[in-house]
Order: sequence, then structure tokens, then C-alpha cells
Amino acid sequence: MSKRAQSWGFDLLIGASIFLTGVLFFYVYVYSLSGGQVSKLDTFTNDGNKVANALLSSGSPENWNEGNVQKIGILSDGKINDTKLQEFYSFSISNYEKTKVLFNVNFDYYISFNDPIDAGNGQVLGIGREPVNPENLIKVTRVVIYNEKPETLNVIIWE
Amino acid sequence: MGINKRGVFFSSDAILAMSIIFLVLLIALPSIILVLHQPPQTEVHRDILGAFSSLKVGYVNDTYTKELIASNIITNPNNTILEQIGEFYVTNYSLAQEFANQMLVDVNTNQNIGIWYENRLIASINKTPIESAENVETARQIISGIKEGSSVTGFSARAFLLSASKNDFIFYGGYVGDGAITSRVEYQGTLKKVEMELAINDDFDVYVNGINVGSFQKSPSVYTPIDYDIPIGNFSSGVNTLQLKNKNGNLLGISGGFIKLSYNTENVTNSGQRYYFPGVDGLINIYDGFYIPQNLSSVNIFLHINSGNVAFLNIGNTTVFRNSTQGEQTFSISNSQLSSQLNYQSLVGKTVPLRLGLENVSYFANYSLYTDVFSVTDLSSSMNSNIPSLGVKMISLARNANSKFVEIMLTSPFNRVGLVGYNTEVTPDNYHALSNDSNSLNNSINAWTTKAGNCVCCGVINATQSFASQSSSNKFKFMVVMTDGSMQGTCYSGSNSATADAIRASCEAYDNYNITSYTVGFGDGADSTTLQAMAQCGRGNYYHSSVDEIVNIYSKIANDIINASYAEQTLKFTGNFTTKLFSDSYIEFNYTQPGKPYGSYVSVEKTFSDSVSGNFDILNGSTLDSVKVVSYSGPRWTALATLNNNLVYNLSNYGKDFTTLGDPYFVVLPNNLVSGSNSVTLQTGVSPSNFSAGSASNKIIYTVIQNALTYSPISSYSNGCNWTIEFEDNTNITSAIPGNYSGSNICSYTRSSESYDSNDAFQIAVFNLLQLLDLDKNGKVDSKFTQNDLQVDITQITGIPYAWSTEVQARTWN
Repeated sequence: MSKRAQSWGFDLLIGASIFLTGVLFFYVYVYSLSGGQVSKLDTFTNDGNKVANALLSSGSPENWNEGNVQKIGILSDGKINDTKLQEFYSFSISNYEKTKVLFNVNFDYYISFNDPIDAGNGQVLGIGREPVNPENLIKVTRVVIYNEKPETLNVIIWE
Repeated sequence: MGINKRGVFFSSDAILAMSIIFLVLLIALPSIILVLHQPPQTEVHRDILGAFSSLKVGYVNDTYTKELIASNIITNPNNTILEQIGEFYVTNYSLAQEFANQMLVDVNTNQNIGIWYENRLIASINKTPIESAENVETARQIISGIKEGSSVTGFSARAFLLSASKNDFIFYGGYVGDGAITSRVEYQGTLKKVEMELAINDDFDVYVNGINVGSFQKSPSVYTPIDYDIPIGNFSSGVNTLQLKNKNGNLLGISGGFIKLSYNTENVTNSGQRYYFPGVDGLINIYDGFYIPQNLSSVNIFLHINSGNVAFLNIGNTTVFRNSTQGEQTFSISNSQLSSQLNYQSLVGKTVPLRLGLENVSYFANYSLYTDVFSVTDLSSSMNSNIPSLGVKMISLARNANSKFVEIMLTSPFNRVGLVGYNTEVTPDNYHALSNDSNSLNNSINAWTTKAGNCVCCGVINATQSFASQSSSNKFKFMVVMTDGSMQGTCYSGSNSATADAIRASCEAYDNYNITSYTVGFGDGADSTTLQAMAQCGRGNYYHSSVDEIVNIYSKIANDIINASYAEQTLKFTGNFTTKLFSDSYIEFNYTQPGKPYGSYVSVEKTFSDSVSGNFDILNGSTLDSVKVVSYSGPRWTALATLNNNLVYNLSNYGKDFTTLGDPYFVVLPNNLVSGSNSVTLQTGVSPSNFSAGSASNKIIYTVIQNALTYSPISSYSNGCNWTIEFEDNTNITSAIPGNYSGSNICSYTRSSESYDSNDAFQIAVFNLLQLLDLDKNGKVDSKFTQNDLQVDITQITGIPYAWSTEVQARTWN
């Protein structure tokens, strides 16, 4: 009687182990199939939205500069403020990493419009680090008033 | 062995279960992966709405937009892009598409983007159609002031009769004459129009402040007024004179009428306490009246007059002035003098007649008024015959008819009646000389006897001779010749025709003594042919009377005679002198003005239905201010007026001799007798027992207090219109409203048509106002106004968000 009971328990353990192993194997498979990519895409997208949302605000304080900035924003009255845009450009040149910190992003960013940006002392194509052989890259597109007309703001997040 | 079998059994169960799970998960895997790979959400659609709703088109840095502004296609640069697209959406859809696409031209995204107004796609940037989209994201925004097919901006208008617009009336009396007539015209403000409505006897020139401004024709009759427009160029704010001068050498006489001033003023004057006499240069002959509403405290009179003849002024039946002048003189009659003569309380709350005339002229006129009349009655034996149907003799009916005739004729104490009864001749017992003693005359009538013979010419000649001896040339002379049979007896030597002699006698009576002959054929046996010839030659009328009508016929003849004589009163004056009454003469009544409620005062003129009566209604929502009935009585007196069967004016209360009494042009009706629906009657007369219909041109003028202010709802546009407006008196005006409107819109408010554009704020407000002024809602505006009176001022309030709103959607899809 006692042996029969032992064999029942043993068989059950083996069957259950095989079942659980199969389920575990499935989830590992699914995760390896897409899970890692989704996570990275989310991260990139989140970073892109963080940058875009920050930029499409008036920033903090309202008239921020590199010395007192808490949040980088380049709008005033719903439009791109050239002064803030130039300040942001200067800031990104002088302390790019700090801008990333302020944007709270892990990856590199690059901001551009359809038209070149007036950086104060000349025109530039974009602000931030231009992608060079990126391994991953996403682009978040927003529409904003720039130079008194609706324009596309492109935020590129890359690594 | 058994144990092993059981182990295999369990392991195979587990593998089988796991396989099933795997199978299910493998089937579900694509969906799971799809969920995990959802494309990231975009904010582009929200950004577009945000950008379009914050950037004003006046700031858009775009050549295309600047050209639209420069060419005035975009009229409001403060519109946001979203609003501007909306404006084009309702006014020019293709332009809306073009403009919206232009606004998206610099938006460069991989997203499919589209902008919808309501359910209509305005602009899009797309690689794939939305119909095949698997994922659509939408941002929505409501904008007001947009309704497809309507305007983007609402308009509200209000219409009202400007409080600065005022109409003043200067009334002429029941009769004003005779000569050049001057009115004092005072106003403070900007004159818009001067009109006159007159019943006047001759053509005339009009002088304003001494300057001739035009010639005008007389009215169709003294009972029927006509309207005149007077040029206003020579008027100025303040006191003016308006003079009517005769053109044809005749003295002018106005049998009722008024001057109407329309002007804008900011001054609120409390006029009405002074009655100004019209100036008369000729023969002063004024019949008028006045009305004091309440609490008369004092009266003062100032007369500026030049009259060698005695002039008199009667208020009611009291003579308060009687004097002649040596050249031009002024007279002031103080309140202390007047209060001793007049019972002020008796002057309050009713229309009081007022008479200013000349005694000597009046005397002549009164002589011409006075009438002598002989009743020449057949007393042949046939008159003694019985009338079976009536059970009386013909002579009895003749007596009754003559008694009635005497009664009517002697209502004027200055008339006289004589009696000539004839058969073969006129005997003293059938004769009574001219007399105003009705008892004596009736005694004579009752003593009449009959006998054979019917010498009509005998009776006519006897009456003619009596006129010659008893009457005078300046009196009206009539005879009434009655017979029931054929002519008998001759009167002229060599004559053998009773008929010819009767006609000849009548002709000679008129030719030699100006005696008018009326003839009456009493019953069917009368020689109507001869009687008609007699009447024709005697410039009178022939009447045929059945036996039962004789009393009525005599009554009618008596009234005709009175009317004929009185009708001459105001038309004929004799004498070769002139008098002058200056238009600064006045009577000042000091009384407490009744308080006036706040509101717009709307005056309504309602013409009589016929020559006797008219009616008017006071609708709910209107408060009655005053009501009066104006009378075009011609040379007769306005004698009786009733309101809702209540006698409100009776001239005979002031005396029996109307020639000494005034003749008010209008009678004020007491407000306390006015109800919702009202009827008014008015009769004219020449004596207390003689009344007849007045003029169909009589009218009721009532003023109600009403909130004459209307608004339009928020409407799509406010253009205006050319209005045709019909009034209660069936006249029309056509007027552009607002005044500067020059378009071609046609609107109407008439009995047959009420048309306007229900989307035009101006038109709605005006229509509502006209409805308000149409008190009985019969499609005809009760408040009569001219084009200039139509001071309908409309205030346009632009920029009101239109009540309708439109949803704008920006969509992205993939």
C-alpha cells in the first residue's frame, strides 16, 4: 500500500514538472521572441515623448536660461520662442549630457524642423546629437507653430 | 509493473496537457505579439488642433495667406486658422479646402492626417485612405459661430422708434378764416418733415417765415381734407410762422385740419398749456375748442388785434372779450377778471367751444343766416276729405306738417315763418304774417278753414308780396307751396291759364325778390308737372308726398332750408374792411399736467367707417394715453359726439344759437369710457334740433403707451431691406431700412403679404417692430408714419458667437 502511494506521488511530481517546464519554456520563448524589443521600443518612445513634451512647453522657470533651468521648454504662447530655442541650442552645445538629464532620457536625442533652425549666430539643421550609425532609432513627430506657421517638430531618439 | 504503467500514464497525461496548452498559446501568439507591438500613440492630431486654434491668420507667415488678407478675402485677421477655415467652410467650401491644405503644407509626417468640419473632410495629408485604416486617432474641438450654410458670426439688431423723434400737431379749429391765415410753429431740434392736412376752400400760397415756399390747390370739398407736404428749408429751430395766403382773391377758410411737425429733439417740452390763436388777416372768424384735463387753476388771455369792428371772444357761452381797436392793440385779460366770469370747474374734463369773431361782420353774416319762410298751403275743399286708411282728414295732416315745419324753423330765434292758406283767394283768417311766435303760428294753423277753389298763383303772389313788405334783402327767403290737386284760378290780366300763372308767380318771386320756392305735391292728385316747373323756376326742389309722409316731407324741407342758409354763413361776407388777429395771441391755461407713464407713445389714426361712425380697439398690452375724434364739419358745427353710446359732447349745452359758439376741430373722449372695442359717433348740426352726418374723413386719433422696442435673435447676417409698409388707412410707404441700405432686397408688411428674410437681423427686428405697431394684427400698421417718421434705428451688434457650433476633428490613422 505504501509503495503504491509513493509511486502515485512520484508520477505526479514528474508530470507536474514536465508541465511546468513546458509552460516556462513557452514564456521564455515568447519573451525571447518579442519581449525585449517591446521594452526597448517603449523606452525609446517614452524618451521621445519626454523630450517632445518638455520642449513643447514653456519650460521652467518661464524665462529659463542655462543657469537656472529646471525644465527645458521652447514655447511661449503656444509658439516656438526663438530666444528659448537658441538658448536650448546653446545649452545642448555646452552641456549636452545635462540636457539629457533634464529631459530624463537615457538615449541620445536630436531635434529638427522641416526648415533649418536659426541658432542665433547662424542656421543649424538640428539640436542635439545627430544620429551616426544608430543601432536603434525612433522618431517622434509633433506639429508646432514655428516662424508663424504650422511646422513639424521631429524628435529622434537613438543609440 | 503496475506502478510503471501508472507512471507512464501520468507522464503521458502531463505531456498531453502541455501539448494542448502549447497549441492554444501558439494560436493566440500572433495576437499577443500584436498587442505587444502596438504602434506608439501620436500627438500630431492634437498638435494640429492646438496650433490651428492658437495662430491667428493675421500672423501667419505665408504668402498665400497674406494675399488673401490683402485682397480682403480674409476680412478678420484676428480669426484663428481654425476659425478662418470655418468661415470659408460656410461661405466658400473650396476655398476652405485650399486654405486648410496650405496650412498643412509644412507639416511633414509619416502619419496620415485629415481635418474634418462636421462630417466633411476639409484637408488631408495621407498615404492611405482612412477607409482602410486599422487604427484611427481623433482629436476634437468645438468652435462656435459656425453653421454650414450660415454665417460664422452672429448679428443681433434692435429696432425702435427713436425717442428723439417727435411729432407735434398744430390744430386749426373747426373753422378758421377768413383771409390770410398764420400759424405759430415752434419746435426745438432738427426738423424732418412738415405736413398739413386741410379742408380749405380755395387755392393758396404758403409762406414760411415770410418766404414763399409753394402754391397748393384747395381740398376737394370743405368736408374732405387733403394732405400737403411743406418744404422745410426755411424753418429753423425755435418759433416760426407758417402763413396761408389766398391766390384767387377770395378769403381763405379752413374747415378743420392740422400742421404736423416731425423733428428730432433731445428736449422734452411740456407743451399744451397755451392755446395760440391762428393769425387772421382779413375777417377774424374763428370757431374752435379746447380741452383741459384737470385742475384748472388760472387762465390768462393775451390778444393782439387790429379791428375797427367790435371783436368778441366767447369761451363756452360766456363772452370774455368784446372790444374794437384804434389800430393795432394788445389786450391782456387777467385771471382775476376771467375767474369772475368763468366757472373753471365747468371747463375741466370736456371739450369746450371757443369762438373769436367780429360782431359787425357776424351781424351781417347772421342777417344772411336769418331766414324768412312762408308756408303756402292748399286749403281747398278737397283738403277736407277723409283719408280712410289713416282715419284723418288731409287738412289735419297739413296742419301737423306745418306745425312741425314751424317748430324746426324756429329752432333759430332769428328765423321767421309766415302762413298763407289759399283756396279761391287768401283770406285774413288763413294768413299769418312772418313771425317767430310759434304759439301764434300754431293757433293760426289750427284755425285754418277750407272751401272750394285752388288758386295756387294767388297763394304764391300773396306770399311774395308779404316778403316784399315784411322781409329784407339780406335775409334768406323761401316759400313752400303745397297743393293736392290741379291749378285753378288766374292771377295775371289777360291770362287764361292757371298753370302758367302759377309758374310765372314762382319765377317772378325768385327773379324780383330772390325767393326760393319749394313745392310739394300732396297725394296722387297733385299736378306734379306744374309744381316741378314752379320749383325749377324758383331754384328750389319739388317733393312728392304720399298722404302719410307729409309731416316728414315738411321736416326735410325745413332742414334743407336751414342747411342752405347756414351753409352760406362761413362763405359769404359782406362789407369792405379788413381786420387782423396776430398769431402771438393766446389763452394760457394753468393746470396740473397729468403724470405720463414711461414708454413709447404710439399715435394711431383711424378713419371713420362712414360719415357718422368709426371704431377703434385698445389691445391688451397697450395703455391708453388719450383719444380724440377730429371732425371735418365744413360750415356746420360739430354738435354731438358719443363714445360707446355715452354722450360725450353736446354743443347745444352751450346755447341754441350756434353762430355764437365755437366749433372744435377735435373732441377729446374721456379715457374712463374707453374699453377694448369702442365705437364713436359724431354728428354735425346747425341748431339744437338739426343734426346730420359729418364727414367720412373724420378720424379717431388715439395714443397708446407701448414698449415699441424689438430685437432680433442672433442671425446669420444683417443686410437690410427695401420695405413696403401698409398702414391702417390703406396707404403705403416704401423705405430702405436701415437708411443707408442700397441693396435690392424686397420686404413687405402689408395686409396681403408679410415677407422678410428670417436670417437677416435687420429685417427680423424691423418686422417685429412693425408687428408691435400693428395693434390689431391685421397686417396694417396702426401707427401712421411717413418715411421720415420711420426713425427706426437699428443697432448692429457684431461678433456675437453664432448660436450654432461645429465640431472640428483632426484625425491620424494608419
